[in-house]
Amino acid sequence: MLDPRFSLLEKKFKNIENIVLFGSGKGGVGKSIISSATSYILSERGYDVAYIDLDFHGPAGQSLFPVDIQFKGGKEGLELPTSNGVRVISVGYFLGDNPFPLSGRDKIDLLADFFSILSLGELDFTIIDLPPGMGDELTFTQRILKEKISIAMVTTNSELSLNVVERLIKYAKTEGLRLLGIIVNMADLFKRYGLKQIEEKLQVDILGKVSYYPKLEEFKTIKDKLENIHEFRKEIENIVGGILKKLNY
Amino acid sequence: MHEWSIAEGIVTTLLESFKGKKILEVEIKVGELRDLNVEVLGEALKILSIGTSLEGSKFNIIVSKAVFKCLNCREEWSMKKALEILNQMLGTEKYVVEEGELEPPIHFIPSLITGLQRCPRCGRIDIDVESGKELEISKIYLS
Repeated sequence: MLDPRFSLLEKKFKNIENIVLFGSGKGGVGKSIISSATSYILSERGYDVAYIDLDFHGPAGQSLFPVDIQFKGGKEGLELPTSNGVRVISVGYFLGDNPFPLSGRDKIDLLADFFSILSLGELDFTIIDLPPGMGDELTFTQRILKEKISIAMVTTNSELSLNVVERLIKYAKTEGLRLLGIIVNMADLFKRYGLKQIEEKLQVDILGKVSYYPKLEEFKTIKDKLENIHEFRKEIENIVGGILKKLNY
Repeated sequence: MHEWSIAEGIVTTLLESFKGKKILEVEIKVGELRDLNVEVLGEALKILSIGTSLEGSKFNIIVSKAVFKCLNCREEWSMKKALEILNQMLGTEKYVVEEGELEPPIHFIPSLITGLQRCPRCGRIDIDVESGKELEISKIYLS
């Protein structure tokens, strides 16, 4: 049995480089906020950027990047609409407020559908917001996009989160995934270790840190969060700088 | 719209998987959920095969009916009913525009249907698509 979606998928991503996954060991560490903010800042710097939300059970893309136009389909597939300069896609745009139960088998099917139908065009960066852990979303993406991808890992500065992200780092190293580094979120909230200590403990570079900003909750879109909380923006800009440096830009 | 793109995927897969071999017949299973026009798909396969080792091969396309099943009460329902349920759950505001027509998102991402169904008998949302999602090259006959 052969699945023709895989050759479509390979073709779609043939000319797409710089695919950066944002992963984490635990949930709730701020992957969506940091990955969407990174996408926004990259776009502001003049790059063509796509933000792909692969967190099917807890999609956030539709809130962080609102789209007020109807989605369009064409000969090349489903077109990614632009929200605040970033081309975006998330199942959240299509589900309304319905829950989305999905078995493992169905998830692989959805991933194959999702990647083979997207009309990507020309892109400088593709940012993929993963759900936590090492599920199909990570392993499937890695299997199909292979050496095109690199990964940034988000953790809080808590013992639990650091221990779990350590497993993900081991996975990345074993699988030969290009590891850009660690982003420590809410760094001033759980002061378990200093950044240097984390770097030594995990044996991975720190890409940057983000402090805890309760005010982030007051703004819905990533544009509003970045435009209204200047310190947060500055920290994301540092992270973007770190990512660009790692990718030789 | 999809048919040409899917046909391209099928032809590329066959040419890459059976390099240097002559394929006499290919069986392709297409689920009802894929929403593909079988005639257009067949025509696209024929045209895209011209000038390749697939030229003259027979393409046998089999469509499987969609069957949805509730994992709680075992109720089963068809594609027609599934589309009614989808419209009740979602409305048309989430539809996608294609060539001036409004299409449900499952036209592009069929696997989304799993999350957009509710059992018409017991109302639960833990459902399974027993068949109808297939898109596979299921049999190959070589010379």
